[in-house]
Amino acid sequence: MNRNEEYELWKAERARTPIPADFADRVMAGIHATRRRTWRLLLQRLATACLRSRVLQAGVCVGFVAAWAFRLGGLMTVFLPTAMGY
Amino acid sequence: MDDDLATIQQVLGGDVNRFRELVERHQGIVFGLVANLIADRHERDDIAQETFWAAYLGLRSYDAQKAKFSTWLLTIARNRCINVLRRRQPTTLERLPAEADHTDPAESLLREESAARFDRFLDALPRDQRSVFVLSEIQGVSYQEIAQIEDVPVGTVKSRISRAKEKLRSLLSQTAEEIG
Repeated sequence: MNRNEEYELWKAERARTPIPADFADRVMAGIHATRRRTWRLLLQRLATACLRSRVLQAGVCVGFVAAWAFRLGGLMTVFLPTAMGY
Repeated sequence: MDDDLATIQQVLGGDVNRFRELVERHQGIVFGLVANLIADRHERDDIAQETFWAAYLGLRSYDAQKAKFSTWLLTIARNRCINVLRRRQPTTLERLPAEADHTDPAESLLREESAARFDRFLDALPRDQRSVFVLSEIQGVSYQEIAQIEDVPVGTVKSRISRAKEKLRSLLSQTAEEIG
């Protein structure tokens, strides 16, 4: 075998790179994981942005107060008919 | 190339699983480049995976007018390899598994020695010549595409390949003298 043949053989050998059988699966698994992470990150950022906003903070407080008042009102109605009956 | 474009459109349209077709179509050339630049098998697998992940994340920025999808992928892979190589000392390339050999053991040994000699030559090449040499001589990528991948003029690609071949010739003549 002469030098050129050896060289060509070496190039052919180097060009034949073994690829792991599950390579495409691993790439796709990584992509799906990235997509899930991206969604989680977006939701986290949205929540952080909401909590930073004064208007939204005030809105959340008003919501809690309204829920508390509604609950208290519900409790009071238990006593109101009784009181009116006497 | 048209197949690639159609698949890319589908992926961008939300059919993410079609990206697998792009991976299966191009994994050979990406591995071919990475395996000839990076010695460590695990690192090589990681770089090949990261290349496809980066391609997926940057798919919207891919411009089919500027380059073929394979050229774009090779550019990502090459840049990742160069970044890894810059960070550490050069290491010897792992011998790729040879095809089942049924020839004479003596001839097989000679062939192994010869391949090891070519491997040492590849290891000894400077980074800029090495990636160009691998792309051109081993991967069979055109000069024009290599120029796009390396972001250099075609003339520079030609001169790097010519310098690498010059070194190869000198190595072979040196070895012939040693043997002779």
